[in-house]
Amino acid sequence: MSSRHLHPERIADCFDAGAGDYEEVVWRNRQGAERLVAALPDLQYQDLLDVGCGTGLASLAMIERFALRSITGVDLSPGMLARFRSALEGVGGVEVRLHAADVLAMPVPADRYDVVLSTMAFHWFPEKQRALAAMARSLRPGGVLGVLTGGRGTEAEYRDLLAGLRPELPAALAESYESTVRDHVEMETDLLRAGLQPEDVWLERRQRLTPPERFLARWRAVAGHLIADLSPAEQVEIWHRIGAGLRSASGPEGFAYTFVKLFAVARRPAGPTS
Amino acid sequence: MGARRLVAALPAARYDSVLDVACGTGFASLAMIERFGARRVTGVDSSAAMIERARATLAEHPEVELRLYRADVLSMPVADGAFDAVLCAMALHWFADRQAAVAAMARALRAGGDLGIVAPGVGHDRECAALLQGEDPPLFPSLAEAFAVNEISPDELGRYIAAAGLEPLDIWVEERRRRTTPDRYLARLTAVGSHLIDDVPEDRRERQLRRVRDLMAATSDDGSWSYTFTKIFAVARAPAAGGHGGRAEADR
Repeated sequence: MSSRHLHPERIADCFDAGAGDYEEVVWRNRQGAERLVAALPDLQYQDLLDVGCGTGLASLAMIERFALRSITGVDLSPGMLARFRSALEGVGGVEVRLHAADVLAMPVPADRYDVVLSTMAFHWFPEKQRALAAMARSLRPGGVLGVLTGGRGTEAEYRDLLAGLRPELPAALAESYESTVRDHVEMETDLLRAGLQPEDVWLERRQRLTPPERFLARWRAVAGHLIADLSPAEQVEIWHRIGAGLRSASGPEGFAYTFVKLFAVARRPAGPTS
Repeated sequence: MGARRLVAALPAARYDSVLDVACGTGFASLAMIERFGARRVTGVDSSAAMIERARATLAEHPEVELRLYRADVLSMPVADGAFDAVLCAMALHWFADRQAAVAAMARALRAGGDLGIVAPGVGHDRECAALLQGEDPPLFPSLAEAFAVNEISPDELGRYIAAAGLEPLDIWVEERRRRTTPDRYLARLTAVGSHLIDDVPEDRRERQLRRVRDLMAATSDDGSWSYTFTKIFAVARAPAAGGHGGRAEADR
């Protein structure tokens, strides 16, 4: 199933524009990447493929835990790749290849990688089943896939707020959660269909409290591409309305919301595959 | 599994002395030794059999100074402010006074020390509860009630932590779906909850268990049983300033 609101070129532009202060805005994603890496089975991983690598949070966490030989990073956004490249300066002994490419057109060999990771990017892939199949293909038999993505129910309070605004927001914003997030049962089904064996799939749910301005800044940084087809003036007006809604829904300590992440660790069967 | 994930989630810090509350078979302590190189471990459990299991689990680390006590959480023979880390894995839900239990754990922490808790979360085993309650009359009513009483919400745990004067670093819920056989699932359930089904007379108990097993097997094509596995985790820190002012040596 593909989502009609997700356009690779707009996503690339959005993340290019935000690359500079991306880590500042989504600092909690670093913790998520570290948790995913901590949950991987304790194997000798040498060659890593990082899909939707962004500024490289997952790869950097992998370097901390494992003695990698090579890192291949793929991301739509050249701006993100440039940030990743500078973060890798000073990391010796690891061969690095970075490609600006879509998950469905990765210039990488099949049956090659010990581990394929994708952290906080999968929810933006328009064709999730094909993306999983592409990642599964690049794994060597017995290799491990790790995915961290948005979980169903995430930011439900914000989603309700968006749905309640009048006049109604563009469908791309109002419906974005439905088409991007997954729950653990759906993910297990999708992994099996991609020929992978789920090892551990789980949701993590947290309550968050954050200043409304900060919530809006993060959301603009990661979801601005959803309304990139509107004029700049229209976009400004929409963010203004959402900001006002967030402020009025906030208490003295900020905007309270539920944050759900979906983690998946799966393996490509070691035997011959179809 | 839950204990291992809890230890993996602790911040990178130096934890030399560890208190393992309701240590059970000792897996949380083992994980602390393996990840942080803990040198002094104190385990407390109300069950003598569990204490012996913990002793066996930790026997592979003779370099660790080990103390095991059979005691209740509210009367642990440990000094205040003595520990770098206090852990409580899958036991808080059994304590009659959860708030007092968390307060007792907090007291054992040195200033700046960390408390880690994992416990059953809201909605665990809900498929089983629905299945039991869907029968007329309901099967093993105490069991379904116990599921609801066991579960601890983020709000509840957050209140205990705040009341104990600790600063929450992270509170979260992990939800998984597990697939197993009805027999294995029921074996686990009767092992940890035997006291919850023995209000049903023995002859009826066996019959009811068979009925539950058949109902579970009928939920899937291959006779397997899938259920929701929900755990709540918390990591909280004892304030560094104005506390006990450094580590007491009383646990040595």
